[in-house]
Amino acid sequence: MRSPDETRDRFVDALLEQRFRDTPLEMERRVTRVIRAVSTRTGSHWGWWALPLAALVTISLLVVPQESSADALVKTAMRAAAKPGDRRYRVVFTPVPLAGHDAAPGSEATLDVRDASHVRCEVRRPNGDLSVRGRAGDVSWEVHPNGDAVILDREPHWPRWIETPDGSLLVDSMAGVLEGLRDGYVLTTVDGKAVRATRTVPGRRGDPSVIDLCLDGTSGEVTRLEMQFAKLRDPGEEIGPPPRRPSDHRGPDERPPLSIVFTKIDCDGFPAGWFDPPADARQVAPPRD
Amino acid sequence: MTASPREPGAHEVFEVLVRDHAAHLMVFLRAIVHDKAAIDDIFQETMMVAWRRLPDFDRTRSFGAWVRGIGARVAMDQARKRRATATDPSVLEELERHSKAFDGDHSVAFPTRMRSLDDCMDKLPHDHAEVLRLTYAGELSLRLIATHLAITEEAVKKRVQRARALLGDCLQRKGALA
Repeated sequence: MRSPDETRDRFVDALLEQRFRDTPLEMERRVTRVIRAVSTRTGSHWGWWALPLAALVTISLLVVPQESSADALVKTAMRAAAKPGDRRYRVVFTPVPLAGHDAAPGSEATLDVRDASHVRCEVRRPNGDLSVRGRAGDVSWEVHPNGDAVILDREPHWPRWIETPDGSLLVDSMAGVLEGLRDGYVLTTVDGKAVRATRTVPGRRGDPSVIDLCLDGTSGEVTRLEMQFAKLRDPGEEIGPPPRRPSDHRGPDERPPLSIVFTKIDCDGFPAGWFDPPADARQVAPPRD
Repeated sequence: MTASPREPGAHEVFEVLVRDHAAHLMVFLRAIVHDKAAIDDIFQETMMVAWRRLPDFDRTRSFGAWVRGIGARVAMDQARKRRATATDPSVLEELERHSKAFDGDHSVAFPTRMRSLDDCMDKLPHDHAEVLRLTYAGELSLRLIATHLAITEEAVKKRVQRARALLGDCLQRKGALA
C-alpha cells in the first residue's frame, strides 16, 4: 500500500518521462503498429505464417502500372498461390550471431497451410524445444515444449519476435512487410523464373532489404522465398529511423534475423484433423476484459 | 454503444481514438508498469483488446478511462505471467483519479494539457528545474548529475523528489491532478 503522496509522485514521474523521454516518432510507431495489426486482423484471419502468400499478393500491388517479365512472373505466382490446396513449407531462421561469433544456431519450423483459417506451425528451437501452434477455423491452439496443450481463448497476441535463446524469429512482420513493400521495392527477373525484390529507399527497421522468390516453371508456384535483413549491429549499416534510447531498447532477441527462408516441400495433402487442437488440449480461462 | 470492428468506418474511428488517447495511456502505463521495457507491448495489447471490445464501449463514457481500465488489467496479467509485483488496486484507483483530473473536460488535446506541466516547471526554483531536466531530458546517471552539480548523489535524489512534489502541488492547484 502506498500513500497518496507516493502515488501522486508516481504519476508526476510518469508525466515527466512522457514529456521528456518520449518522442513523436516513437508515439507514431506505436500507433502505426496498432493500426496495422487491427487492419490485418480485421481483413482476414491470416497470420504471419501466411507470409509467403501475403508477400506475393503485396508484391503484385507494385506491378500494376507497367507490365514486365518480373511482373508477369509474380502475377503467375499469385494466381498459383490463390488456388486451394495443402502446402507445406520448411522455414529456416538464421539469427544474427552474437559479438565474437561467426554464426549462431538457427531455428527451423514446418509451416502447413490449407487456407487462411487452417494453419499449423511447428517450431524447433536451437535447444531442441519443440512448440506447435495451430488454427482450425476460429479455434487457435498451442502445444508448449513441456507438452502442455491449450486452446487459446482468443486470437493470440503474436509478439514481433518469438524469443529464442540465440536469435529471433520473425512472427508479426506480415503487416510490416506489406507496408515495407509498399514503401519501395523494385522487381527484377533472374534467369526468367526467379524474382528479386530489392528495397530502394530506407524503410523501417525490421523490413527485409531483399526478397528473393523462386517459382516453379510449370505451375508458377513459389518454391522458395528468402528474406534478407540489413544487419543492424553496426551503426554504419543501419537503415531506417534512429535506434531507441539505451534505456528502453529491445533485447537482442528482438532484432531481425539475418534471413528467413521458406522452401516449399512436396505434400500429398494433410490428414483429417491435422489442423485441429490435440484431444487433450485444455481451454484457458477467458480474459477478464 | 459504438461501431463493431467489422463495420465500415470502424478503423478510421478507432484510429482517431487511438491517436487521441495514446499519450495519456502511455503516462498511465508508465505509472503502473515496473518493467519499462514491457510498456510498449502492454500498450499494444491494451489497444488490441480495446479494438476487439469496441462494441462494448459505451460512447457516453470516456474512452480514455475505458482504455486505461483495460490497460490496468493487461498490465496486471503481464505481471502475473512474469511473476512480477502487480500494482496494488488501491494505487490503480488513485492513479485513475489523477488521470481523470488530468483529462479535464476532454475538450483540449493531450499536448495542450501537458503545457500545464511546462507551466509548473517554469515556476520551479532554478536548481529544482535543472535537476529534473538533467534527470529526465538528459537521462544522466545519478553520479554524473551529482558531479555536475557538485552535490552528493543523496542530495540529487532528495532534490528530484522535492522537485516532483512541488510539481505535484502546482498541478493540483491547476486542477490537473486529483
